[in-house]
Amino acid sequence: MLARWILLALAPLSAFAQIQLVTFDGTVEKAVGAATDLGTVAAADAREIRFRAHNTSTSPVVLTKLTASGTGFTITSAPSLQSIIAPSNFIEFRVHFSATGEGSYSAPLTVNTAQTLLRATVVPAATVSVVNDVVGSVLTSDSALDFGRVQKGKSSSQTIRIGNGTNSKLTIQSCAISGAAFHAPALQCPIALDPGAAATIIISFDPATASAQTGTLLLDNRSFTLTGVGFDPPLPKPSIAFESPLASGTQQRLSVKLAATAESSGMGTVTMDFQPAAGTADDPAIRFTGSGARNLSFNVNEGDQAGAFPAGVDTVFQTGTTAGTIVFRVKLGDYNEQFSFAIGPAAVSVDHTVASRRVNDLDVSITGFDNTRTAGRFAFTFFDKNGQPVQPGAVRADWRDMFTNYYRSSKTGGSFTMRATFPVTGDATQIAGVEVEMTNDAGTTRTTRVSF
Amino acid sequence: MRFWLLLLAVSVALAGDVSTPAIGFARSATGDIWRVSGIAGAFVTESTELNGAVSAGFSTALGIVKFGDTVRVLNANGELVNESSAPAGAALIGFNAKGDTAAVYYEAAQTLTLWRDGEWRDVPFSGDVGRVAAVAIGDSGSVLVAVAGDRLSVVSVRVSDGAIESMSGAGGAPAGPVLLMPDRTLLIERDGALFVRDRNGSGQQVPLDAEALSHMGNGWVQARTASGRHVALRLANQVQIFELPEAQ
Repeated sequence: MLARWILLALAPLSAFAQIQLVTFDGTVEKAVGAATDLGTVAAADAREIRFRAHNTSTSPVVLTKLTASGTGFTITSAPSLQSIIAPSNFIEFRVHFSATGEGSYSAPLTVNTAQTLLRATVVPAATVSVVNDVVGSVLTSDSALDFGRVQKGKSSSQTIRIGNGTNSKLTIQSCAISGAAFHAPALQCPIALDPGAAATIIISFDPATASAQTGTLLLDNRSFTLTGVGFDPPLPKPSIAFESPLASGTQQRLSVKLAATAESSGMGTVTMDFQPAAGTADDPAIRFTGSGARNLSFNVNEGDQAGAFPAGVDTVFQTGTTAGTIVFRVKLGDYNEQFSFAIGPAAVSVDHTVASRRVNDLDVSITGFDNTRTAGRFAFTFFDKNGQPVQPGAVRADWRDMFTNYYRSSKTGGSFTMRATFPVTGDATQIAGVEVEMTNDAGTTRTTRVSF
Repeated sequence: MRFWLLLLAVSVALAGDVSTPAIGFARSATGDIWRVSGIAGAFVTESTELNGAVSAGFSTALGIVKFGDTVRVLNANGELVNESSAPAGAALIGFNAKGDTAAVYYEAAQTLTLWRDGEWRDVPFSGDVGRVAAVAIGDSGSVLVAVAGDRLSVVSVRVSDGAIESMSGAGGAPAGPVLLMPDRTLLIERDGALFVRDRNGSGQQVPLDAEALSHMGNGWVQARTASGRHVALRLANQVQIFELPEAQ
């Protein structure tokens, strides 16, 4: 009987103590008392406070009531009724206040059985609006003035009108602008405004970095958020340049030129593609030496007029030993430029020729390349010590099948080393030199005379 | 006339062959050995299974690859011929003109060895003439040693007993690596340039800040620059310079 009496006595108290209201400024919670003052609010401005309702009991609490009953006060961002607040947990909501008429405002804020009295005072204040060509839009302290996207190094400005729409004189005692990218050189306080009068200030957004940026315009105790996004200027259009026209069997220096001085930094890539001519195949020698691959990155820094490769202002690439078309693709910023260069078919190119004599043999070795891969017709002309051709003249050989078979599995493009042995049945020392003529589909090449 | 007819008749009957042009081998900054094929300016570099080499040098017939505490001898195709234990650290490697004999100087141990006729042979070289900068094998079979002190000298060392047969000056002291050829041509890094100095003292200057020099084979020299570039030098009347692509 005694226990039942105690439970009945404690029940209302327990229910009341289940919810504890606090304000929360984003960092710190502060217990609220019987009244919560939102302070002075400029007419037409707004103020918002974050509240938390803690369940301090050891049992779940059902949210049955959440109201702010009074002119100008509204609850936002609240959970729905019947939500469960777990023990030691909380719900969060916001109370928004805004009114145009001067005077004192109040409203009871009720969360289940917990309550506090909300109070606010509306004072006359200047009307702050953005002036544009169409219609001015009034700014309130909870709205942001957005300058949009502005290229780094450029500027965008907006005109702000501060008007006195009241019947009494208004004076803005202090004003300031914060945020490194926002400027208002003409902003100066105090600003005295007679009834009906207005002042204008120009705020500029001058981003020095490519990023989203914020600032604040302070007029007495009113603050207006300024926002804007700075972005990098677009990178200029790239093109490529070489030291000389492209031909097979060479190393060339490639540079990336910019159509204009870069106003921002960025990274680009150059990619090589090779389209072999008919009858030939890909050529692994075609690549950038710096990367050993067919692509290479380069950097562009602000103020540059050309791309910078790891090795400097240019980079070396090999043209290979196969006829076809080398296609360079340069990606930089929004640009994806393509440049094609034809490597035409050419007669066999000789890198070096070696002629050597053994007791009964003459060996001739030729290293070179055939970018058409049609070589194989040879003519060897031997010369005696007097420089006279040995009769009956050129010894012709057709080794096209041998070359075709070689190129079928070659991993070095059109390059080759051809070795021929000429057995001698007489005095081989009488033969002093040899010239070799090689023919492919693009023409005929003759070596210089090589001595044995 | 009969001779020439015979010559020509036989020559046509015996055609030669065609193969991939071999340049030689190169060593990356991280010790990977690359096979280099193709022709000048159109190199094809391929990785091999050899990694972690601390030094390497190649001739037309031989490859010497020094690892941490072993040294391998390779044939012209890059196939293993011999592997032996060796003093730790880097080695200076040089060859004879034919390329079938190699001299190796182990810098830390200051010992000189010769690979000839399929075996290693120590050369009793005292090494007290100065810092050994490069080695080669001269025409007479003596080991040529480039010695760097206040000046650079080339010393001819007799293989049998290590005696110094001759010494000749080769200009001022090097600032970087040195490479010595069998004909006593020297490649000397000095003040950001590479001097190619023949045995008579004349030569060329190549604008190259070589950090390392090594024999690639077939008359080619590899230079690795401080900026990480791999350069292939062809030693001819006029030194030709090419960039060597990284192996993929």
